[in-house]
Amino acid sequence: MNRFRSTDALRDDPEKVLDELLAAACQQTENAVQARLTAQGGLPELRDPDLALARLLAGAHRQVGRAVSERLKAMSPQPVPAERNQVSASGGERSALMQSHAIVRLKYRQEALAVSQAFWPRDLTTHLGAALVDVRRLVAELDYGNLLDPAVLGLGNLDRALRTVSLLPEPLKRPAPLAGDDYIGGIEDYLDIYTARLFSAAGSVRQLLAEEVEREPSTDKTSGYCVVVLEVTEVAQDLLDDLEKMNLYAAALARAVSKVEEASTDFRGADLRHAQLGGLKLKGIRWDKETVWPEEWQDRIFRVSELASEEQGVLVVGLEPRDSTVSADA
Amino acid sequence: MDTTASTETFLAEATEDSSVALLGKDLAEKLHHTEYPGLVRFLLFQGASWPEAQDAAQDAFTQMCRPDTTITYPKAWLRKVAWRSWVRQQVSVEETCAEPPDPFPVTHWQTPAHAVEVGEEERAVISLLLKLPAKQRAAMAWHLDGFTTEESARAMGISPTAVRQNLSRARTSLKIDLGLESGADKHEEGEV
Repeated sequence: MNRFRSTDALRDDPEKVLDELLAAACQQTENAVQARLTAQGGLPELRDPDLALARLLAGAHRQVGRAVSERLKAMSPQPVPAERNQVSASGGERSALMQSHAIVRLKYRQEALAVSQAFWPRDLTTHLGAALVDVRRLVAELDYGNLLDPAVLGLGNLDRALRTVSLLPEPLKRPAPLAGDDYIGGIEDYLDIYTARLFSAAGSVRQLLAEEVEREPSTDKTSGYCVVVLEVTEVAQDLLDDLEKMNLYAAALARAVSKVEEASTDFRGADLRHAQLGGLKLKGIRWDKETVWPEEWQDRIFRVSELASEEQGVLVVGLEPRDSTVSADA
Repeated sequence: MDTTASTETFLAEATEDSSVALLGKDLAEKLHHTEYPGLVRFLLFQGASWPEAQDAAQDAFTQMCRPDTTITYPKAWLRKVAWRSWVRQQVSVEETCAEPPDPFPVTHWQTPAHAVEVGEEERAVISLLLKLPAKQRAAMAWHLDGFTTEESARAMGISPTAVRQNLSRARTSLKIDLGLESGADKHEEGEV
């Protein structure tokens, strides 16, 4: 049943009806474009190549400046609780972890890897990256004067990022570790520094969303809920700033977790001749000719190790099909 | 390097006055006020969102300012360059409009299918236009802006026959979807 221009005369000539509908759609779209352009203050200025380049350079300069200052802030050393400072007291992050006694790192490597797994930010950076694209686009549109208050922003990626943050261990609310207290506790304190920053930035984002935006069901099924941002320019810029902080802190946390994993895996050149290997899982450990194993374990470890494909002279335990766990009874 | 300037001289012979050939920025300044809205509408009908259409239209005028650019048929040139600019923004043109959202009028619309200034009937027509396959949509956009089949074919880089077939299929789909024609009359769908 035709609901368009349904008089008999028009129904007899569908070509004419279609032409009329298309012409009306064209005319009304032109009116809508004109109205939208008028509402945003008229036609945008003609950007000749010099002006376009100047805008690009200014934007790049501003964003790089902001990124550098945030990066420097994120990388600056943070105070560590005095009672648990073994990990970070002796210099840079990597050297501090790696300078912990190799036998201690080996003994508590499973616990340390479990901690690093709990702190791993999963796909947080992916969600944050997508959310940043959404918000940067909004800010750019505001810069160009394409939007009016309130503007609409898809929140699907941002919600996913915030949910991922909430899955991380909450700083300073964990029970004290039972095993390897100093070493494992130090690692947790070390990772807490990064999660605390991340939680703080996520809290700012949540507060901003709670106070400044109204959630409405999105018409776009792929983006979940959308927000109607009030006081658009300020809120969008604040949101962008907070998200960029979150992104930096998430990346810093990922690097910190990687360093813990490295300290639990990299035993090149380590002196382990007095280590008690009974019951320890050795799969994944990287070692080299400088590594000193307990005499009675040398042959067995050599048999279950393979050359690492990416680094010359490095061997990895457990690349053979059989179980690489070397039991004390073996 | 964009070769549009060297190939566009065959375009839009019927729709444009080619007697005055201005250069670069002078031409852009002359046309910016009159042609910018139409260029944005052309891109919207191609499937661009409002910000994408604005970006691509701005980029076309910026390219027009280049001193080494000689343009005889500027309306067609602008559309072709703006369309290319928009395509470069996209991962896939087809994905962009594969499933446009249901018409729901808002002030800050992204496509004209959502514009409050557009009537319900026309929003439905635009929504159906945006659901057409990319080439049918492009052929319709050139046609609705008054370009001939030959001009559209040169701009789109396909044969006039293909343009005619895409236009015909687009119109058939629209008539059926609008209830103006029986679906039994619908021929084979698709792009040419």
